[in-house]
Amino acid sequence: MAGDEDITRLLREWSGGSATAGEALTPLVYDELHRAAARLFRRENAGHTLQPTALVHEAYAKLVNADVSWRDRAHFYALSARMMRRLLINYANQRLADKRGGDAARITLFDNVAAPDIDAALIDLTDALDELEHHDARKAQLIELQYFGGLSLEEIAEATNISTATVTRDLRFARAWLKEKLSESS
Amino acid sequence: MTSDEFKEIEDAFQKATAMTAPERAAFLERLALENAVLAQKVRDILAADSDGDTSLAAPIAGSIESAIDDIGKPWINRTIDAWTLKEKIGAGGMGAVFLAERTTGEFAQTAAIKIMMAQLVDETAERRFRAERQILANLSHPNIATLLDGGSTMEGLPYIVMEYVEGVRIDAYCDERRLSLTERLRLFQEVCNAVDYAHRNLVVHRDLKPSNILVTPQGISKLLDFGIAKLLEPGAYEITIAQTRDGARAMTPDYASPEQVRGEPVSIATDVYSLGVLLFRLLTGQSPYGSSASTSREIESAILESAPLRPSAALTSLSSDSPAASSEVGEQRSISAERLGRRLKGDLDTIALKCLQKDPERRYTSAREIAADIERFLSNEPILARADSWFYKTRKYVMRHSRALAAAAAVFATIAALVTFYTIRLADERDKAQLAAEKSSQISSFLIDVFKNADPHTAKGEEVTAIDLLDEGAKRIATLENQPIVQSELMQIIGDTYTNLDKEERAIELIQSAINIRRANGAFDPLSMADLYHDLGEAQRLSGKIADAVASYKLALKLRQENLPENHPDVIWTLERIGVTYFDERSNEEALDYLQRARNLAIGLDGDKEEDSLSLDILGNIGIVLDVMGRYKEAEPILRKTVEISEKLDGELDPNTIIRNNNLGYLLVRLYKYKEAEKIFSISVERAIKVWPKNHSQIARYIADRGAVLYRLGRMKEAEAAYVKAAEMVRDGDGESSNDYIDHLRGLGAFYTIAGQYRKAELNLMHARKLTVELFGNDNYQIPQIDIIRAKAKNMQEDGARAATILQNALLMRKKITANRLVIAERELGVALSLQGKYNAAEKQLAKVLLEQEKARGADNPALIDVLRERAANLRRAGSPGKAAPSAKRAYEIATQYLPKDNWQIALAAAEYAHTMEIAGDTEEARRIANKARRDLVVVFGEGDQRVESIDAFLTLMH
Repeated sequence: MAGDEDITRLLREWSGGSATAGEALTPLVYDELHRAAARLFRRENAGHTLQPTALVHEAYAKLVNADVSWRDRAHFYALSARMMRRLLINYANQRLADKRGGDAARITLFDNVAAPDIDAALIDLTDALDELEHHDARKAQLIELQYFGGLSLEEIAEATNISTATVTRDLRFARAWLKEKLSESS
Repeated sequence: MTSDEFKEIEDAFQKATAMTAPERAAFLERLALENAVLAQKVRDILAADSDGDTSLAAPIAGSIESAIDDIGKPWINRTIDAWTLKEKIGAGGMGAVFLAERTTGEFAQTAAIKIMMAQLVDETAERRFRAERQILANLSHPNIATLLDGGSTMEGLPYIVMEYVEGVRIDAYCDERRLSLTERLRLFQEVCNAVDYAHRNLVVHRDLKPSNILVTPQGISKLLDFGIAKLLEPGAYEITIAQTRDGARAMTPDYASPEQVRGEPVSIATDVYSLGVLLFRLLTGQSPYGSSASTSREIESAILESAPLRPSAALTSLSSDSPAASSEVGEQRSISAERLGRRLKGDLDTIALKCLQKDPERRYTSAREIAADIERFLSNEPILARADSWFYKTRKYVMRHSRALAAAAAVFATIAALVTFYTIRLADERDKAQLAAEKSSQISSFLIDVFKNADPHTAKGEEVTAIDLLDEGAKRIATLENQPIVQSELMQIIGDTYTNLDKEERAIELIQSAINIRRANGAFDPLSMADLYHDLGEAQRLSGKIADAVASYKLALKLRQENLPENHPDVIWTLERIGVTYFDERSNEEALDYLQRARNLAIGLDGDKEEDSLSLDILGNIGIVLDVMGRYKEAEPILRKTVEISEKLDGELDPNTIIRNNNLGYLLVRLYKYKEAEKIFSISVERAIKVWPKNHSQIARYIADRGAVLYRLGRMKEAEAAYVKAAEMVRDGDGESSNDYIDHLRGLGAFYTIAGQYRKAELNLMHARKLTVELFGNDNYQIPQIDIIRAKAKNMQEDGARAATILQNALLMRKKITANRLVIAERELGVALSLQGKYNAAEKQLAKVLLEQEKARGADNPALIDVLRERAANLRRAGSPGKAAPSAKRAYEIATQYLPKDNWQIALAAAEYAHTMEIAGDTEEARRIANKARRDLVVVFGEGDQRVESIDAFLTLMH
């Protein structure tokens, strides 16, 4: 298994543009997100709403040395954000498919049970995000970093290498555009 | 919304948010005058801007909430499908591998489960993972770890379940057990054969190394990890130079070939190279490039630039550096280092170096050839590695395995072979050295031009495919006009490759030009001309130009017969092709004639020659032609013999044997030998399960075939189980969105219709219909086929009006209905008319169908039973029992004559016949026949069935 040093090195290489490092990093980060989810679930309080931020920070704290540069740290969050987005959409799709596909002897099973709102809402959101990505990939990435990765404005600026002012401006439009899109489809 | 519109909206939005409220209002009003739609959109987005962001944050938070329980489940002890993960046994670029145990079933089974996580950030990773699954699904070999299952985890991560191999790396195994040289070579041959099997299934492994080849305690080698393997799929030419660069990055340098290091296209020769490194290791314990290279970069440059050592030399240099190390190498091989060196010297040196050639085209052309040369070495025969007839062999290989060799591999192999050919000819014809050198340089510059023009940079950044290379080659051939022989040979090779890639028109054109050039230059070497005509014939046959193909083949045949022994395989091959070509246009008599001649030559007049794959193919084709001609009785012994020979020659588990076995099964059904057919299909199912991976559509097909016989035998419960099982397999294997699944649902619907379970029939048929519309649209051929069965079910429920409506709609798509099903549709239309009381129209319709069927099948054929019976029923309903009698009687007689005793189809005909007997006044006989029919029907359909009840009604009325 990779130790702390490996992860730090992989992170650095990945920030430097190495796709191989990104690929090697993914399972490690995934495993940690997974473990972070388990820990958070155990200590979850009633009424407390989980945020992706909590998951990602929890994973980061366990996985990466404190002396990692600010820039590599931003990249770690970017990777986690991308992963959270895919993971949640996978999960929502899977649950919707289970609802449709159902039990074992189901040659003749056609009833379409309505999907739980939450999965449908997430799918609507990611559909809208995909459309935004189609028009303007950078804005979609900003949204991903903020909402799926829980990054602050400064962290987003660092990870994407653009000024905080531009991030603020772009995010404001992207958010408004998405919200309008969602109200249109609902 | 276009991206331009998006930009305009953003522009306006950014301007508006920078303004004060009054400015903004004025701005939006101005904008509305220019473009009202745009202005409204901007207003909406501005309105959304002032709200909070819960509509974005809430779904994410909510879905984490609902997912965290599952996402947070630890891997170890988690259950995926029927498997429980026990421990992590590996981690790689794609994800993690776990040891798993099956938790259900009677005995414990272990497996390795590979879960892919990279998909979460990289979509191409998922494609690669699915490719691996696809590759493994197609491979079934005792020396390749088997794919057992696959799917997605609850968080949507794809996984595959593979056979868990409890074994040791091949190099460690050999050393630990101190295997002798011969034992090592035997094990290595086994690996070569497994790799060759993969190649013949269009897979190049690309990462062969000891850690991917384990040996079990029983001494059986297993090939693992097709993670970066490449599927060379004919018909899908996505094999491009750009893509293979990925593969280069993913490989391990020690066993990598020069072309992989350079990021160039890989082919079968790439695996041959890696096998060479493996052989080198097993023989000497050393690397072919000595021990000086240690970093990846050094190893890579050695692979590209240094000549590999000879294995014997590697051992000599080791013993001078470190005598202790070299004597250990000897001990591990149960031999002294000195004697080991002597045994390696010569043939084994040559074999290893032939694998390790820098140029892929100078290596062995297949892994099987390595194994064969080692066999020759072990039995002290001369090895072929030095033989010069390489060009000839390569070309033959390409021709024999035309379908199996990948597009790109074939192009490179053939073009490369040509260069080698001229290089060799240079050595052969020393007195013509000058001329040969010219040819050789002409060919080289020709090839350089082809590849230069096919280079992505000069080809405007588009990806280069095999077809592009060929097209470029074909275009440039004109530049060789002062070298007619070279030119025509190139044309033939490129032409053959076009044929293999289903571009027959271009193939025909090129081969025809090659023939013309040879003619114009008086270069009439008859056997070369025969090869050309034969290849031309094949291209013409495949493009549907049957008459042209026959003419070309006959020219080839004449030349071959004049210049070769009468029973030379090439002569036989052309005869067989002519037969097959005639069969393509259903000139069955001619087809039979040529196939018979080919067969007689292949096995000798007294049948004294041994069967081989050519003679067996011919025999199988004769059987199929006879079957299609309706000469079932003659086809039967032939198809039986085909199965018998195939079992001996190819083995019981060879896919060809299974297919041949099934062909026999279909014929037996046509001969109404249901019981034996059921046994045959059971054998097919049993064998298919061993050969094809779990849930493979081929297994499902055989299970459904068996179901079709079972219902004919009246074993409805078993038939239902078979049909359901088959449909489930296809659903689990291919998913619901597949044409195969629709086929099986339709089959299930047809079965339930016959079984009288109309609700289940309708559910399945409607589901099949819905899937068809979703996947293929509502004008797909499946729709009318499904509707015909639905109509039949309505008729059986005596709802003639509904049946008629469905049928009229289905018949609008007449052109998409197969001939057999069209007959059923027309017949059911007659039944529907009758049920609506339109007896005259029904009689007209049913008489028409009967007449057509008599013409097609003869007057005495079980295919007539149903229409005769329905016609009789109509006339009876119409109140003309006298007219009904002959039809009823005929149906009953044909059924009793052909169908097995007590069969339910006889009973149905009998029930109708009883009616006419009663009206004729023979109540005694009518009652006897009706009672017997009732007994036979109850056994099959049960007491509640309406076919049984209508006999009861008849019997009651007679009282």
